[in-house]
Amino acid sequence: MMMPHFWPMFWKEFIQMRRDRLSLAIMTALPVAQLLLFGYAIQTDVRHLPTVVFDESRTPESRDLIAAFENTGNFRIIANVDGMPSLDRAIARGDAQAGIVVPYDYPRRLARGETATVQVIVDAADPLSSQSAIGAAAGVAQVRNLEILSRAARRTAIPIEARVRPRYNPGLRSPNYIVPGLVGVILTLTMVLITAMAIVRERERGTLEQLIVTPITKTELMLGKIAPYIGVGIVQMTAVLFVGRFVFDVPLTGNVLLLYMVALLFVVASLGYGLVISTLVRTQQQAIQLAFMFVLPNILLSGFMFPRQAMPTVFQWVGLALPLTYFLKVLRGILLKGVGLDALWREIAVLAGFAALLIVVAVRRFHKTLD
Amino acid sequence: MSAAPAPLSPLLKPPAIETHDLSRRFGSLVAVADLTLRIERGEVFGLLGPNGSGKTTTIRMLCGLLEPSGGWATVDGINVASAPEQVKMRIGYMSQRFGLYEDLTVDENLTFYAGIYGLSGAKRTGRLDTVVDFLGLEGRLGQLVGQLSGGWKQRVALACALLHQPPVLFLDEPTAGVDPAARRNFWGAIHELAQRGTTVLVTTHYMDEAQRCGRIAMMSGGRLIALGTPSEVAAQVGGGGKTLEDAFIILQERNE
Repeated sequence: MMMPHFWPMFWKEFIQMRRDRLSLAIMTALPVAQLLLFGYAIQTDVRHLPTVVFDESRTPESRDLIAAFENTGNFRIIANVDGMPSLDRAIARGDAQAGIVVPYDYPRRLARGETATVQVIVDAADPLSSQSAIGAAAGVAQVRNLEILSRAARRTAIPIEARVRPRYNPGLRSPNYIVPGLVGVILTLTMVLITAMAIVRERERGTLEQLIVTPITKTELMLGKIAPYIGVGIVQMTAVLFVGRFVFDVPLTGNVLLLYMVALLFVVASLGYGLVISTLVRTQQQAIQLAFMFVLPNILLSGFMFPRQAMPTVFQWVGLALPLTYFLKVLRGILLKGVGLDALWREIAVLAGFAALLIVVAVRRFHKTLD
Repeated sequence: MSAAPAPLSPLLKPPAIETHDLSRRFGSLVAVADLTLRIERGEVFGLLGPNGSGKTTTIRMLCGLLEPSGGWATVDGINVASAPEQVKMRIGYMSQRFGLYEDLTVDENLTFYAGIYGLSGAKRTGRLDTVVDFLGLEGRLGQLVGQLSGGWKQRVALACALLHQPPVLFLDEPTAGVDPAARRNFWGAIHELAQRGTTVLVTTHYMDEAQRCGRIAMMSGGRLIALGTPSEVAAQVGGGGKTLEDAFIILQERNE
């Protein structure tokens, strides 16, 4: 393909990009800042819930039970209280998020073989943080029940055990899940935002008028504009993977070269989305607004934070129109599962299709005239 | 809408610019109405008129930046509506608003436009040297364009528009906001180009500049209302003994 005006355009964009120190600093600092934020601050598995205890029986049996709760790691006993009112108050004020109540007849019922109850109160205003506490409380009782029942039945082995093997992320660590996804989210955010402004900035500054009275073709203009940012995308991805590997211990299991090649397709597709936005708007402000309207569904619907399987069908379809949805599968597939082309070729083909289609649409929508 | 004339034989060079009933509407607004002009090679032709009289719209149609709604126009013998990309190699254009990259240096702007106009190798070096020398830009090459004064910016813009040696040059208010000394310099350059055969179509608000044109056309409300040498136009609009400035003011008052 002969594109004699591509290189001057590329070179000009590159100089302008290099000279805009602030934007360049933001583009390189953003991935690392985001990664530290998401990696350290966002933990969906809530541990050590502050807990108050109201122990009416005050016996070795009740203390044993409370220790069992604490040993799960989900409860952190912060105080013993002497009545229901103070327990309620502690939870209402937010000092504690859970309360354990052991009734006075707990050891007696246990000894008689009756059902001994223990009450666990959880602040479920935030479902995410209460979930693991609720699960752990049920678990404590079940383990105790098994012990007691098997003793009574004089069995040394329990009848059935489901052996769950959490593959690809055995520790169920959230960084392993978040960091690969973050590569895609950061690329989407910066690539779409940068190029959404690309054409419209020249229009606003008056430089587009001078540029389109020259023989440069629409394709040369568009490709020359986005090409330098492919490099930015690759640098961003490398930064996130590097910090992910060495700060958060996220494994890089699969073929990293393949990952970079797919990332190239994804970056071009994202730049293409930005270019299309750029042809739709008249001012930089509109471009930013439209770009954010595009980025938000990417974060919510692509499967970055919330599982796509849980979404209503319509929103699953919307997710299918976003390149990030496919790129996330590739990222997690290569980084965590270590799978290759044979498992991911469908996603890769869709990304290539997106890249080509979006560039073509952007070029066709752009006209070398002022109206 | 009448058709553009068939190409002439190679011996007869077409006029630099020719328009016939050229019109442009924006919705219900008629910006340019039935403009018919013929500008010969080597002319310095001035387009005068109050704001909104259709000068800029006319230039933009001739450059291929706006499509005509009616009539036709040729530049260097090429129809601007059917072959706008061919027109672009034959014209130099300075927009009303400064159109170069302020975050690039003078040299980088020149090199960029040389590349965009397809110049390379020795040809490029030669052309860059020529325009830099012609407009006296030697000492400014390393400066960011955004830091230049209005007069120097216009020189750099003219330099970029001349790199590919276009036979026709369109200048839309090239000296707006430029000090008198720099304006005189700029017009010196325009006349030098015309003497070497470049056709220049220029719009202006300054009467002293209009006086320096070979011929002028006065526009009002999108229509051509007077055409000829500056003194002929002054007489046509203002009557005997009036200056071009009187004519212009009469015209503006008639318009309000």
